[in-house]
Amino acid sequence: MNDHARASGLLVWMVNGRIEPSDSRWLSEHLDGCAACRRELSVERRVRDAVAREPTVEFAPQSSFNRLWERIEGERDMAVPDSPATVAHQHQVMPPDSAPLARAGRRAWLPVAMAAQAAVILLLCGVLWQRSTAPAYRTVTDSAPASAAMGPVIKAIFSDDVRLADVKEILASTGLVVVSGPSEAGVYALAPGDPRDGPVTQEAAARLRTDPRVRFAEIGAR
Amino acid sequence: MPAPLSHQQQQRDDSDRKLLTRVAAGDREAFRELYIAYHRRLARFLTRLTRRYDVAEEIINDALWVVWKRASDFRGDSRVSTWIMGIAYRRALKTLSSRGQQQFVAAPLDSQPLVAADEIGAAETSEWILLGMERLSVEQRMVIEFAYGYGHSCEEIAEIMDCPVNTVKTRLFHARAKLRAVLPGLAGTGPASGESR
Repeated sequence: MNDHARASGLLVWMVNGRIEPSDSRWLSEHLDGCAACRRELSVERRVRDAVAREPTVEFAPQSSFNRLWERIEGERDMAVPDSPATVAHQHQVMPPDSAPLARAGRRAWLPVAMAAQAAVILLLCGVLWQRSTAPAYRTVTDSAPASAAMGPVIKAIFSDDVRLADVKEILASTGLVVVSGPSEAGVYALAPGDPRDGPVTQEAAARLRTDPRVRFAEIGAR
Repeated sequence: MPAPLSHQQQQRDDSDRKLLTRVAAGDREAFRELYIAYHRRLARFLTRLTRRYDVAEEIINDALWVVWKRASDFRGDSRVSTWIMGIAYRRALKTLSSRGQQQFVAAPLDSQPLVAADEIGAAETSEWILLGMERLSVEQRMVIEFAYGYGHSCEEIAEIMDCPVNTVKTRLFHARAKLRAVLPGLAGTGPASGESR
């Protein structure tokens, strides 16, 4: 490997600050006498600046965290009956030493919980076998029914601290479903879930705007 | 000899380790702090990778759910960010695979430059670099992201991507070559380099 090839392979680690000291010394000496590699170094810096640039999109990590925490708590509720250990685990910061005890407590409940869960699953399988219909559940951001796939939509932004349960409640009270979203700006596209309800109306948008958990609601093109 | 960390990187890793220890003990507030810190970092590359914020957020929450579940499994022989990035990377690959990569990833690289050399101005270079990255394979893009965007060493990237160090070097070599092929201004011949005339 010639010096230029070696230098080229090291430049990325120089610009990202992870070059080893001995390589750094060698590369600095090489760059002092090599204009081509100095030009390449400036290119590498531009690549780094472009890739490391912060996005202009405004993220809302707190509301995303709330959704994840709801999921974690939901799983915990499914798996473990309430016990003093789990109540403490859910609602307060536990000292590190007490965690193994709490986990041991949870493990003691596990067989019972699993048996109960298995019974519920078997029961559900039976019901589904009899009905042989599509599942009646749908998550908030699942694909909307075909009826909601055409026409204008209501573009809505929810408050940063809104919880998943709030969104479900708002949607249920207005008969709307999420067609798409959230976009990078946090915008959800909403449309009537039932085709018999017709297209979205200004009344529906106005009703959404009266809800303090909705920051923005306007009819717009899909 | 491992590539040294900067003072800032070392401080961040120390802080992450303390948080992760608390997370392993079931501390919700520590998990929230870690989540907020990593949400932005992960969102940056996952949004670029998937080009859909909702999908990026789904991957972030899946990855950090694993962090919550497995915090006590962290062995401590790598940086916390390396460990979390590895989890997020694997979740991202799984999501891309299950949803079909063509849904997210741009057309394969061709040999045609995206733009003529004299059309690239210094102010536009960043945009073209990011556009050029969309022409790379997922693995090549991720190597670029982890090296340039997050300051990971070659060894750390190998750990994140669960591949040999030489594979990282090869992917990086080809990624840089392809970027230069589609962005001639980067090749040292365009005005962006200040050497063309």
